[in-house]
Formats: sequence, structure tokens, C-alpha cells
Amino acid sequence: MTNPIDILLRTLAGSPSPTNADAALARNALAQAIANESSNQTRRRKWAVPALAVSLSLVVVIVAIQVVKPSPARATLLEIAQAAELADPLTIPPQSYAYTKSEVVVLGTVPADAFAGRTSPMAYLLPQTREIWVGSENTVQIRTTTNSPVFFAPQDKVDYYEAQLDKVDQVGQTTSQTVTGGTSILDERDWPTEPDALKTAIEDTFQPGSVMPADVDVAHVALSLISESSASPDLRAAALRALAGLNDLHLVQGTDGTSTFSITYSTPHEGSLTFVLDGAGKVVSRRTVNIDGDPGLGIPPNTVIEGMDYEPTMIVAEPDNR
Amino acid sequence: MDDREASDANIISRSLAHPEVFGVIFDRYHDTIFRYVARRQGLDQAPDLTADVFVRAFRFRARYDASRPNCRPWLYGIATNIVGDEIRRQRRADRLYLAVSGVRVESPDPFDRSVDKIDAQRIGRVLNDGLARLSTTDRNVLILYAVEQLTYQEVAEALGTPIGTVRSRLARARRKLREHEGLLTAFDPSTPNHPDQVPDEEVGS
Repeated sequence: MTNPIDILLRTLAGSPSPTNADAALARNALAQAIANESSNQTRRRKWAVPALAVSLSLVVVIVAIQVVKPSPARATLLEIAQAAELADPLTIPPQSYAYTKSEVVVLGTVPADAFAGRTSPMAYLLPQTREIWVGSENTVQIRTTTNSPVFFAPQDKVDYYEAQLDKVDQVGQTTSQTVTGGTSILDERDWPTEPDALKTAIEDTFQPGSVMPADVDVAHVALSLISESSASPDLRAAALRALAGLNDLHLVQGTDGTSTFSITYSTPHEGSLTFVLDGAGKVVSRRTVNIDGDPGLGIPPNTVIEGMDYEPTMIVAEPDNR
Repeated sequence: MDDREASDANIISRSLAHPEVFGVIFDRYHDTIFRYVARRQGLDQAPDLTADVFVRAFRFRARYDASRPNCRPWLYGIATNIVGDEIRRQRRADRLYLAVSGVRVESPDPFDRSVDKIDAQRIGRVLNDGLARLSTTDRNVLILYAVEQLTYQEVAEALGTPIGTVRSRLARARRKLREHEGLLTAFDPSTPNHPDQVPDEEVGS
């Protein structure tokens, strides 16, 4: 080993030695674990043969599934994760900002009693333009412009403006806020960069009672972690590897350097989450589609009820203070 | 076969039916893993964290890939994860604990003059600052290879990373560390106060 950096590290790191007490502490901990397992083994032994039979049959089924159902989605995501891991982290020079613009559509719903003389709730789509400047000192400026809603029926539009919901939604207005630390509440956490640990950490954030399948919730959070933020290569790779491990993920297409993935689910309405990644693991877009619609809310089949399109992040000298 | 001659894989396989056999793995690698954990987390935390490594290894030994006779990389991988968890729990920057008490250290390599008799404390601070700026995985690769002297293949096994990725990460980590402000200066023999420019009698030994 002749690399000076290696020699320097090895020299300065020294060679700390354990004392007898240090070794005894670890040995006792291991002995306790061994003793616990030995007593459990004794209790389990009478079930060993039937359990082994079940295990073997499961192995056969799992192997059969893996043979007949290769997962191009998983393979592609793992490839992208590796590329993301090797990418240089985003560096924001002093007095500069990383600027990301995105077009967002969210679903708004209003109960019937918010309107005079209406008996059914209303749903509509609210488009927003979101711009984010992340400074070199970790200050974040977020500017949101709310555009005109999209309605599913002409009467909805009349009712919406009569109830002055446009003022509530701040339609036509631009709001700005400056925060520190990150672009969303997700950035306040120090997320693990090992895929399984990250998935567990994501699941820990779920509120009980979600109607979504857990994998879909994991996908939403994992994508949010790497969408607008200057996520480290390690976190981006971990999020992509966590996505690769989700069930029912399909590769829809892979052209022009991007790859499209989709998960279909029932909540009980049929829905799908589709997301597009570039070759370096940057999120290009994501869509949530209500496939069979919702007659109660007047939502037609195959409606995009949530959508985000992200432009590539660029370094700029200062926020646009229009 | 005598336990002393058996491969790690063989010992681990046997420990599935006879858990107490796992003690052989402990005897073989406790000191090695202790030193690694102490270098990453300091002597205060090393005893408990090292114990965690072996307890976790024991609990997950059924997942050990028996085609790998030597389990040292596997233990390093578990230790790296435990160290990473601890760093996240403490919410502090990852650094290397340096075994420098004096102001001078001698290079262990007589043919290498670049780190001979350098100001160890100053370099140590700069080095830790540079390490903290590396990505977690780059830092792990560099420390496992350079300090712990694992091979490329062993680092790949420890971190579950392709060997090509280990090579590229190592090259990138070395380059970034070498380019890190202050460390370049420290290596530059023309820099004022560099020990190589000080008369031998003032350098100390």
C-alpha cells in the first residue's frame, strides 16, 4: 500500500486494543444471546419437522415464482441506483442557489355543506407552479403560484367561485416563504442510507389507518425524498433500491434515457402510481391516476389526481425576487 | 475437524445446530472488530458496540453466505452498519478517532517520506474535516481499505457493493481527500513550517 492518503490514514488511526474487561463485556453479551437461543431451540424442536416441511414447500413456490417472473423493473431500478450512487453530490457554490421548478397538480375536495343549495361534494384539480432555491448555507426559498382550477363539471366552476373558494386556495396569487434545513418536512430527518433501514424508517412515519397499500405509501415518501431535495447520492441510491424492493412494480417503458415505472393498486378504487426517472436517478415526473373514477365526487375514470413534473435543477446566482 | 482449522463458514454452519460453536468466531475476530469500532467511534463506545456486532452476527448467522470461507468482511459490514446507526442516532459528523497524543508521528513505511514526521494533530484535524465531507459510502470504502486493509473483494463483500464500485469510490475518496483544503498544504514540502524544512534536532523523535 503506497498511496500517501492510505498511509496517512493508517498511521494516524493507530491500533487501539481492547482490555480484558472490554472482551469480557462482549463475550458475556454473546453468551447471553447463545443461551437465549438454545432455550428457544429446545422449545421449538417438537415443531421442527412440520415447520421444515412448510419451509421447503415455500422455497419451492418462491423459486418457481422467481423463475417464471423476472422483474425488469427491479433490475432497471438497481442499475439506476448504482448510477445515482456514483454521481457526484450536488455542490452549491457560496452565494449561489440550486434552483428547481416543478409543475404540480393536486386534487381538492370540498364537502357539500360548504355550498348553498348543493347536495354533493365537489372535487377539482388545483395546478401550482413551485419554485425552490436552496442556498449554499442551507436556506431555502419556496415560491408557489396557484393557477386556475380545473373542474369536472361546468356547475362545479360556478359553485366554486360563488363560494369564493378561489380566495381560500389563493388562485392567481404567488406566495413565498423562506425556511432553513430543507424543502419539506421530510428533510428534517436524518434518513438511513441502507435500503432496508430506509424503508423501515419510512414506514415508521405512516399514520395508522391509511387506506393505501403500504408499498404505495413507501413509494410516495421515497420519491418525495429524492424529488426536489439535494439528496446525497447515498440517500438517492437507497431510496431507489427501496423502490426496487416493492411488490407489483412494473417497468412501463424505457426510452430516451428515462425509465417509467408503475404500481397499480385497489383502495378500493383502482389507482396507479407512475413515476419517471432519468438515468442518474433524478425524478422527472410522477402521477397518481384514479383508474375507475369516483362517481360520488364526479371524478371521471383515468383522471390524474396528483401530478408533478420536475425541471432539472440548475445553479443560479440568486433567487428570482419577482 | 478441529475448530482451530475449520473455516469461518464451517463454524457458522455448525453453529446453527450448536449455537455455542459461534464462540470460535468471537475468539477469532473480537480484537479486530474492536479496533475498527474504536477507530470509528472512540474507545468509550467501542466495548458496547463491539458486543452489538457479535450479538447481531450471531442472530443473523443463518443468512451468512456459506460459499465465503472467511467471515471477516461480513463482520466488518455489520460493524459498519452499527457504527452508521450510532452516528445517525447521535446526529454527529462521522470522523476517524486518531491515535495521536504527541505532535509528531513516524511513517510506518520507511520508503514513504510524504508523511514522515508531520504535524499529526494539525493533519488529524484537516483529515477529519476532509473525511466528514465524503459521502458515507465513500468514507466507509476508504477506511475499510486504507485503515483496515481489507482487499477490494473484501470491501465489496462487507458493503454489499460491486467490486468495480469499490475501486471507483476509493479513487474518488482519495482524490477528494487529497484535494481537500489544508491537506494538500500539509503534503506540500515547500510549505513553511513543514517538518521536512525544519532541522532534524527540532523535529523530535
